Amino acid sequence: MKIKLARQLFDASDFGIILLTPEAKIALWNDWMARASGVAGKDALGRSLEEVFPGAVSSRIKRAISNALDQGMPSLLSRNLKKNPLPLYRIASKKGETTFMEQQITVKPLPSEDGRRHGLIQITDITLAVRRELDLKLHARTTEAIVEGYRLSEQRTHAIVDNALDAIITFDEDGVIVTFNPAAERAFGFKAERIIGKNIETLLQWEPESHAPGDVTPGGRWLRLAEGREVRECAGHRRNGDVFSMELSVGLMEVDGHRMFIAMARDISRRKQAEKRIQYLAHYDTLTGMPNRALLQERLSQAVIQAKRTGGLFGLMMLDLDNFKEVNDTLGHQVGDLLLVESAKRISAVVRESDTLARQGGDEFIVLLTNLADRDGVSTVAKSIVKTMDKPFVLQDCEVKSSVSIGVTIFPNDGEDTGQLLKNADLALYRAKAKGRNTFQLYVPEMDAKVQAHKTMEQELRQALETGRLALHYQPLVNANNGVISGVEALVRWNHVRRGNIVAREFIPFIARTELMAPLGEWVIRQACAQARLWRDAGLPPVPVSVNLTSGELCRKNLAGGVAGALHDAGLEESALRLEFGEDAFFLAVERNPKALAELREMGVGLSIDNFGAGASTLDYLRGHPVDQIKIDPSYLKKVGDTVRGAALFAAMVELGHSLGSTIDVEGVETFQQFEFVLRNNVEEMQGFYLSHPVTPDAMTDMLRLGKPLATMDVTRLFRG
Amino acid sequence: MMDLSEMQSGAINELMNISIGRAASSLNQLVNEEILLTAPRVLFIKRVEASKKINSLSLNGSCAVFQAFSGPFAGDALLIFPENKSVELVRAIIGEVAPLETLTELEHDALTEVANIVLNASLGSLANLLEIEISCSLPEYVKGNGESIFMLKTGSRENVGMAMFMEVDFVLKQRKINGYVVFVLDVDTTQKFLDLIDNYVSRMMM
Repeated sequence: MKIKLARQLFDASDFGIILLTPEAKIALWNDWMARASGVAGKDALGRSLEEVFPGAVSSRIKRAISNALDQGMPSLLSRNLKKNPLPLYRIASKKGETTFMEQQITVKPLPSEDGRRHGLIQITDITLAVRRELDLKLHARTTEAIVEGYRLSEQRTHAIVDNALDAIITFDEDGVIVTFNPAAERAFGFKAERIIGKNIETLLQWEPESHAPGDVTPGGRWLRLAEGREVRECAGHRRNGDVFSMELSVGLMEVDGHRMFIAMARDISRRKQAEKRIQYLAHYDTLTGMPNRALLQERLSQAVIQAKRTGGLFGLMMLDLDNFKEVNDTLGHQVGDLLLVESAKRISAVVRESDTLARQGGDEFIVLLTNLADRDGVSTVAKSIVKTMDKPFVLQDCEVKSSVSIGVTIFPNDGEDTGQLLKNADLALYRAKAKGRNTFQLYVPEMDAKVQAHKTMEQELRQALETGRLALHYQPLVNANNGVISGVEALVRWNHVRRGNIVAREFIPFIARTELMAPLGEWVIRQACAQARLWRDAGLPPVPVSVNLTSGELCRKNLAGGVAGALHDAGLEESALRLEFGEDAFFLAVERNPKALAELREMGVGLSIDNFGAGASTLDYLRGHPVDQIKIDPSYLKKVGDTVRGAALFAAMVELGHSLGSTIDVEGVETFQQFEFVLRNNVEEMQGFYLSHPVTPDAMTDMLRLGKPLATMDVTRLFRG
Repeated sequence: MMDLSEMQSGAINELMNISIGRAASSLNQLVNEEILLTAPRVLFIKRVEASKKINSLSLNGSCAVFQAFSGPFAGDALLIFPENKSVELVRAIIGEVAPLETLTELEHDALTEVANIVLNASLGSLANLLEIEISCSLPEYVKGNGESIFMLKTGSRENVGMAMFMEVDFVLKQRKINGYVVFVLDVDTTQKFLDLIDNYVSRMMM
């Protein structure tokens, strides 16, 4: 009965009961255990725990059992420390679902009479308690996270405001400042504690576009700004008195029933500076600091409008530096830039404050003279510009000589719109250059046609040079003693597309001072050398070839080098080439480029003064720079027929030339009488239509083969030799 | 302070040291982190003084695990921590960083198990060395201030005599937590205890 009751109690209990024998075998296994383990009592009895749950009984449980049975020490096995309890499961409400059972296990020794001990193992299902604890902990963690999150967002808000680039200021309806962030401190130069409590209007001032009744109160004004939601520019006042531009926007907030304003202001003075700079760059030339093309155009348009309205005058000058390209090429771009800068300075000094000096580009400048009293005023200014530019410059320790050419036009006389005026100034400039540079030229309507024609010719000639429509023809120089061809003169012929053959005389002078002359001149020299080479290769008599040079060419600094190069490339000795130039050219060359003449003479290139006696010669110069040949101007020969004096004059010229150490060539022998006359005089060579016109290279070749010009074939008996 | 001969107190010190040392090794088998238990110095004081001492440990109260033991001598064995230290110890052992400031119920169990191991080992070792048998109750968790801890448990014993008071340091990897092991002996059996000590001494002398 007792046992049965005990048994019932045992099985009715709400926790697991296992009784172990002193040998650790299972003596009792209650229903709870059976349900939780899935092992029936009859299957558990007599076995050890290890046998019932193979591999699932931890050392901890084993130790607790031995502690109890052997030592008599009870143990509590908690769930939170090492977790490997027994494999027990709860029966869940849902079908088929089993959840692992969280367990608290106690192991107690039960002493018996014989001194040995039984073990009592009690197992409590603490799954729900564990779940509650986990929930509790999760809840605690969540709360903690929320609190932390709140704390962080507070910090974040602070961080945002504190680190904002914009000044953030809050103030109340009366304008009293409540908060002032670090950016505001920096922008205004006030520490927060000093400015809080003061009025916002001491720092910011702005003008409303229109006035409303509410504007009377500061709150009203700020409210309008806040409601408008615009960003506007305002003036900021720094502590040190500086005023700077700010961009301002104002917001509205309600705090505890009071209206508060929050101003966000940004210092835009830097931006404004940047804008100014951009404007500057768009309108000013960075190198010289002068207004650029764009700004000039604006001002020019303005000037036209203004002058039209007032009926006044203004002048427009187009200038360019005469030798800029040369300076750049020979002394480098740095010096070239310095020249531009210094030129701009000099010219500015000469024009008035109200005038505009602009750099059009490259080496071209424009001067706009507004408020002109009369036409003469312009000329005066132009003159002074030319004068100031004529003085030498010292750039990077080099002395640089420059000059300027100016084309001048006047409104409304010469044109009424900007395009017209610019074109006129350009034409006038062209004319100034053609005149020899270092001068100014006023626009004259006739200029149009003439200058236009010249401009066209230049373009056409350039093309002709490129397309091979230029050729050299040759005229023989004949030995006055024996009638043999002793030299040839090369003459340029232009086979013009429309106009047919044009002789050098008709175009060379017009382009002599343009940039085209240099390449043309070089072409002539090289062509002549090449032809001379061909003749030599053909075994023909190696007579010198003469090439005509303009004064511009003769004054060129690297003339000797160019000539040497051409000779070298054609494989000719120096004496194969003879350079001819007029007296004026000779004069200029001695003045400006004496070294070149000396160099050429030293090289062995023949030098010849053409049209001698037609220009202004200085005997001094001739003595200083002797030439090989003097060609007496045809006019002398013409004069011979008229008077005795003419003949005497002619003889004197011959004598002069000889006394200077030169041979004489007489040009312009066109008639038999002239031919006979020349023969009677003691000259070395002669040339002219009577002997031969200038002919093509092929015809010249034939003549050289014969050795004499055809014309003289029947008069050879007249030749002495 | 109780009157003990130098021999006796020396022997008890030695015995308790050995016992606590054994407790440490048992504990290490259980927990993840290695725990060292320092060698305690044993104080022999009256129960009243012991309770005062516990009081002074912490303002917020203490947690204790208590096991009653019996054999040739009887009494109560307790492992006591100031409350915050108990939290620290359990959390450190479990490895959890929970935001709660007090131990949950299941964490009480963890503390109890730890204490159980320490007390079992101490008592068991002591019994072995003295060549006797001691049995004890299951450990029980108690929380309160010094007085209440003692009174609750040992107050029923009117004739409580000596208390052996030991400060034990639980040394973990990054911290040191002090707890206190107290053995409170019945007056009746105190003498028996001392006799056993004397026996031990004479055995050691041999």
